[in-house]
This record gives sequence, structure tokens and C-alpha cells, in this order.
Amino acid sequence: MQPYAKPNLDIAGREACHVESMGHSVAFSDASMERFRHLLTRYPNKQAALLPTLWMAQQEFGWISTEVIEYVSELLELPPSHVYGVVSFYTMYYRKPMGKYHIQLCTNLSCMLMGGSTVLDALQEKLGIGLGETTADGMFSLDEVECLAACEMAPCCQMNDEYHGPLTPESVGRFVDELRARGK
Amino acid sequence: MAKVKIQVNGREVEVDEGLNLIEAARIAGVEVPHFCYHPGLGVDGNCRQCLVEIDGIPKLQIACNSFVKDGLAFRTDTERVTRMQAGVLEFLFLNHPLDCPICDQSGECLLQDYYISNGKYESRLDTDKRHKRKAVPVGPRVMLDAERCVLCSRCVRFCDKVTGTGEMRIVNRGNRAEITTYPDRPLENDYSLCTVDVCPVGALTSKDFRFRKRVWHLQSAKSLCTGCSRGCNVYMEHEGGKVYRYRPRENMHVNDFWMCDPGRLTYTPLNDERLDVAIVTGEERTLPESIEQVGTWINIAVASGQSDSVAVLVSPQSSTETLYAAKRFAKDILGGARIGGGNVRPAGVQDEILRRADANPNSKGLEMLGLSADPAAVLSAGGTVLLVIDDDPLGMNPDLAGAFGKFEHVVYLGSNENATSAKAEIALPITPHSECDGTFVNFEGRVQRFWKALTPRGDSLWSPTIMGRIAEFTGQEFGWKSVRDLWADLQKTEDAFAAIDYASLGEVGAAAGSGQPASASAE
Ligand code: SF4
Ligand code: SF4
Ligand code: FES
Repeated sequence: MQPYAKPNLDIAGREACHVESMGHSVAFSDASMERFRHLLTRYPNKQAALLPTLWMAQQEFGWISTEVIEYVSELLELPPSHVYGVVSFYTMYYRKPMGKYHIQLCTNLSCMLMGGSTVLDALQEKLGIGLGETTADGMFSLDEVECLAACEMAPCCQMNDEYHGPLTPESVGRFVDELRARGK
Repeated sequence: MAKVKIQVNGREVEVDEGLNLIEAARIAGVEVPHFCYHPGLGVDGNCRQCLVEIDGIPKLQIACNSFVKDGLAFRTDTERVTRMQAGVLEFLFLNHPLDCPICDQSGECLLQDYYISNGKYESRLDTDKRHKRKAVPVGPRVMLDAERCVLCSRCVRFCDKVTGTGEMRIVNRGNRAEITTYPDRPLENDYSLCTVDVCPVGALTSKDFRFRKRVWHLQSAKSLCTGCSRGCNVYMEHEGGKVYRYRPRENMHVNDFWMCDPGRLTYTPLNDERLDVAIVTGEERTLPESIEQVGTWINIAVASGQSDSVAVLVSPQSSTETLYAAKRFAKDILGGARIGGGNVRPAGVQDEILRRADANPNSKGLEMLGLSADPAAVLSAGGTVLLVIDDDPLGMNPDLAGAFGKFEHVVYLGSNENATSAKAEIALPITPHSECDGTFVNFEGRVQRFWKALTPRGDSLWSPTIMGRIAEFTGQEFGWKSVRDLWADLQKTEDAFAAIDYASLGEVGAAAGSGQPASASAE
């Protein structure tokens, strides 16, 4: 038997729903609105268009804030609680601001065997942040992911929509420098 | 509806086509354990507790989403089924706190029931349980304990499908998944307490009821909500002479499985500020001497040929029996005294679900008895005796005080102390609908029964009995010993009720005019 552990009191008070606020209202650009309207024609009802609409919103606004949830819920005539439920189910919808370059490093079996953990250490040191964090200049966010289905280039990472690999502790340092130059 | 023959655990039964196996088993007297399915919310298929073995299908199937067809045979009692039920239950219990001793659902919790009937395994968990939020208000009337939730989504579907307000949601996933509302969008629709009813466990509890009574002490009587003219069917649950809560009682002709929150909280006058002894000019008196006083006044009026100086003010809050007795009292005993009722309760909210603007449970009964709903004609001329029966006309309309003042004696028959009882010269205690049998007629003309739950408080008597005792002083009597006696007369003398037989009203009532039990009447 384990001794009885008191529940962490924080849990009792915390909101189950947690999304940060942008502090200002959001709206799709005309071009996105056009795409959104087209999107609706492909589904039997508005609710069915929720996932791609959220994805479009994330591309346009960078992440999913309270304001984005409420905007999308109005567009699709859904309760905000429903939109939040969906957002919170998928890890690829971001509920806080992300860096301009989001590096997701694979630390699953193949990548780990090929030296993934040394790459991870090098990346953390180079960027000065830990997993799940964003650099102070808003340039980089770092996460680990489970298998990018690109074992032939292990150890590898996904940076925004691009795949990179195989990586070494040295090459990853150069990669960060390049990105920094690109982002200036 | 077409019937099909099926076999449940080897026993043949005939059931309606289209039923799912949970309902079909119920007809055969077999309970299939289930959490997510609810007849008012439909099939969701998420809990997997309802697995059964269907002949000819190799894998176990969920009973909620399998439907009967002719010749179908299924079993709920095989070793495979029972092992699987225990397995599913073990998963649902993994992170469940052992709160039973402090949990308000204890005693009416499906987890408890199924653990005893189908679980009884030893816990194999040797890591910490996952903790979630406890005792957080999700709305003004409902408390949430997220650890106890089995994620059946009944509350979610209730708010989506029934009220259309969509407050409740399951967020996150895996063992982090939990039930919640969106920030600043609390669960505050007018039917929010129904989520407490549908919640199979102690995750959602009623702020009004929690910690006030262990449910196994409660006794239950079939009754009606008196909050508006819908007349939702309820269970009135009580102990030790006190009503603790209303729970909706299924009646597909009236309220389906639901009732509104304001209605659910209308039980309090049955407990509080009760008028339970006779009061004569501010002093407690025995009932017989108080009745004698009233009887004497009435007799003098009748004997001196001045019965038109007596007036009877009735209320659409009264039962049909009270109204009928009052009508007979005015017409026969007094030979045509003024009688009518005041629709004094202010109109409430009306919605598309259940709530009706008319806040009286028996306006239709008043109308069917041909009694006017306008107090002005009754009160205008003043006179010797004013009999006020039920409710609180003075409290709701203080302007009536002038009209009341034009009577020499004001006598009140009611169940609560209020402005009217305080003003009356004599106040006589009558039984409210928790303490007698009777009927109300809802806005659609459905005559519905309520059943006596409690013994009358103090000296309270059934109002037709009190009116009968008063009548005796004029040398006349009604001769009603029970509701049945009264109804025999009612059926004979009132055309609107001619086709309705009290004995056959049953649990769902009957539509006036048809005389048929509800199942046969058109909606
Ligand atoms: S929900 Fe049921 S099993 Fe769980 S703690 Fe409450 S009473 Fe016990
Ligand atoms: S709170 Fe109750 S009704 Fe809602 S999902 Fe949880 S167990 Fe089901
Ligand atoms: S009742 Fe069948 S899966 Fe829940």
C-alpha cells in the first residue's frame, strides 16, 4: 500500500480550460475569409469544418488564443466550449505564442539510437531554453516529438513545415545560426 | 409498432421493433450495466460498459448501439461478458477517488452498483492516482468533482441536445481528460440541475441538495411540480416529515425526463412557514372551535337568506378537488354565493422546452370548472364573510386589502403563513399537495395525479373535509370520505370531467375530453 498522498491543492483551484489571451480581437484577412468560405462548401455542415478552420486560424494568427477560439466558434456557430474541447485534444494546436521557428526534435527509438539525445543537449544549450520553451526574442520554440516517420534521416527534426536530418551536435548549431540569419 | 421475438439470456420475449438491447433487456427484466446511454439523450457508445454476447457474432457488442430484430438472441450472463464488464469497470475506476463516505451520490451511484454486481476485483493500481479539480461550482446550482467523472458525456449531450446551450465539454485527452465549462460561460441554463440527474456518478451534484440527506434515508412519492402550468411529473423525496428534493419523473406526454431548475426548487413552502394550526385573531386555537366559529357565521348568513353576502376567492394554485369543493360550497351549501379565482401569480418565463408563463399548476382546472379567473367580481360588493382558499392574494397584490376590508370576516384556508393568513380573522390549516392525494390539470388539459407523501402537519386537514365540516353547521354535508368519493360527484356534475375516471388516471394522467389513459391520447 502506498501512503495516502494529499492531492496537490493547485489542482483544486486550477481551470481545466487554459488558453492565453492575445489581448485584442482577431479576424481573418479577406483572402483567408475567401478560403474559409470555400472550405465550408466541402463539408455537410459547419461543425465538420472545425479542424481545418482552426488550422487556418493557427497559420494566420500563429497560435490559438481565447480570442481565436471565440472567433472560430462564432464563424462556425459552435459553443466556445466545443471549440476548446477540440483544441485541447490535439497537441498541434498551440495554446500559447510560439517562436517564429518551431523546432520539434524526434527522440524516439531510431533517432535516439543515432544520437538524438546529444543533439537535444546541443540544441538546448545553443538556444538557452528547455523543452516546451520559447526564446526571449520570440525566434525559437523547442519541443520533442515521437517519431516523425523519417527514420532514414535520423536523428531528425521538423522545423515549421520542413524536415532536417541527419543532425549532429555540430550541424544543429550551424542550423540555428542560419535560421537566425534568415529571421533577421 | 411491429413486434419482434428475441431471446434474452435464453428467455423469449416479444418487444417493439427498433429498440436497442438495453431497453429490450429491461423489458425482459435484465439490467445491462451502462453509463453513457440514456433514453432521453440517445446512444453515444463511449463507456463500453454495456457489452453483451449476441448469438452469431464472434465479438462482444455494445448493447446500446445494437438493435433488436426478429430471432435475435443475446446473453448478459456468460463468463466472457462478466469478465469484460469487470475489466471495463476497472479502467473506469483507475483514477477514481474512493470518496463514497463523503460523496453525495453514494447510494444512487452506478459505479457503486456495478462494482457490487459486476466488479468486486482487487485493485491492481500501484502508482499514484491522477488528481483533478474537486468541489468547484460549474454554475450557480451545480457543483463539479472532476475526479469522480467517468466521462460518459451525458451532461454534455444534455446541454447540447436538450437546452442547446452547450456549456459542458470534455477537454484534454487520455487520463488528463476532464469535464468542464468554458471560462466565463458557467452552466446556468434553466435546466442545469437535470445534468445532476443524468450524471451516473457523484461528479455533478446539486448545491441545493448536497450534504443534506443520505439518499438511502429518503422515501419517494409520485407527485407533480407546482411551479407552472406544465405540471412536470416528479418524485417527491422526503424523510421525517420534510421534503428534501424533487426529481423529474418520466412522462413522455408532459416533461419527458426533465424539469426546470426554478420548478425543482418550489418544494420549500411544503416545509417552511407552514400554517399547521388554526389561528383566530392572532391566537392559536383548536381546529374544531375555529371551524365552529366560521360555521356559525356562514349559518347565520344562510339562515337569514343573505348567502349572497358570502364570497369565495379561490386560486389556480389549488388542486382540482379543492376547487370543486369550493364550487359546491358556494353553489349548493350557500345557494349561489359569489365565487371566482384570481390569477394573481405574476407570469413567469416561458420557453420552448418546458416552462410556461402561467405560474399556476391548475389554471386549466379552474377554467374547466367554469370558475372565473377575475377576483374583481367576487370582491367588489363586500359582504359578511370572505373565504379565501389557498395561495397568498394579499402578499402578491397588497392593493386587494381595501376590497378585503369591505367584508366583516375574512377566513383563510391555506397551508402557509403569509400576508393573507396574517390579515385573516381566522386561518385554517389545509394540506398542501404533499399531504393528500389529488389532481391538477395542466395547460394542455391533461389531468394528472399527485400522491400523498406525508402525514398532514399539525392540525391540517384536506380542504374538502374542512369545507364539509363548515357546511355541517348549515345542516348540509358533502359526504366525501376520499378523493374517489369526490371524483364520483365531480364526474357526474361537471361536463368537462365527465369522461375522466380518477381510478384510471394512472401515473401519466389523461387528456381531458378523451378519458383515455395518456398512451392512447393524441399529443
Ligand atoms: S461517485 Fe460513486 S463510487 Fe465514486 S465516490 Fe461517489 S459514491 Fe463513491
Ligand atoms: S460529469 Fe457526470 S454526466 Fe458529465 S461526463 Fe462526467 S460522469 Fe458523465
Ligand atoms: S451505454 Fe453502451 S457504450 Fe455506454
